[in-house]
Amino acid sequence: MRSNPLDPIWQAYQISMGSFKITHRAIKQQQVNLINNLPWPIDSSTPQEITQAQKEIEALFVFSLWATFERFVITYLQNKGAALQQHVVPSDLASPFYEHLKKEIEFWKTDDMLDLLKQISSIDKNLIGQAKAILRYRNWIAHGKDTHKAAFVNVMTPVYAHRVLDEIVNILLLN
Amino acid sequence: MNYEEPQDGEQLKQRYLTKVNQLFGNIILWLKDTDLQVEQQETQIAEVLTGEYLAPTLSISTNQEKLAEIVPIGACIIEAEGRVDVEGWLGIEHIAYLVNGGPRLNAERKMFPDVDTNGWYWLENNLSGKAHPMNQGSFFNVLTQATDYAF
Repeated sequence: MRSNPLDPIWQAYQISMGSFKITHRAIKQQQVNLINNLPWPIDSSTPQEITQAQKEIEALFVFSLWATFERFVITYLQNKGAALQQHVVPSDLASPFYEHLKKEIEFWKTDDMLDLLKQISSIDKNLIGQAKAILRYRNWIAHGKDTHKAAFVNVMTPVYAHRVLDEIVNILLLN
Repeated sequence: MNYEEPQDGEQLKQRYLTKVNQLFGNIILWLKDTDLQVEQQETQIAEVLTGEYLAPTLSISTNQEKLAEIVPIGACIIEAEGRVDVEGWLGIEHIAYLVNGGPRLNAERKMFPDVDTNGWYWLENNLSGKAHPMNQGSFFNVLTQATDYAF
């Protein structure tokens, strides 16, 4: 069975959050040997800058999570299409037909792919609705966080986004 | 909120501010008999549905230093009726207003099994699925998590 591609993203996020805490503590306790030779100067505004960095990483985590999820879904649908190679007649059309489909899937709209997944009975339709909302948030991040357009919703937490996408991935891994 | 059912922005904003003010009122009460000081300030929030508006923030300090700021994030949150962050010097923790049992993974499974009544919940930043209803005990825990402050 394939492994869940979201796992390494989650692990990277957890390590990042832990590292922020360690850095905060090292600076607060003025452990000079731990904060030597950093790529930015340490001064009185550093704690606020680290907090801001944490917010950025949380948003980028959801972005990365989505990108990985989307690639997984594209590959999943391409693999499902591979069955065409055994069933299309005339047989000399089968392979080019599949290759064309595989290429085209790369350009399918994400909303349409999510709607296709809705047809899988073990995936709750509301879960797909939640995934679409996370996609809007992802688009908002991707387009520079303009508060006047794009997303009109924020994510509950990065963990929430992970749980929704992880649930879908785990169902697809079983199907 | 359910993103497929957009509501009137003014209503969303007022509903959210009422909930934030209730939570902040409780936090001030919970901290009353501690050594911590609380100061209320304001922040501006901008969301497409609600437009721009002012919301209260709480700054929590010891005699020596600022520990944390409790900051409203907005009314328009996927599957929640608002979010507030505890931005401590050590880290950020998230509190969301969950309704109807919170988000579901399917008809039988809640994402956060402990959510039973509508209200503010501290959502742990891990995969445990733990959501703690906000009360004095859970608020002290979330503050400790974000600041290392021991009650």
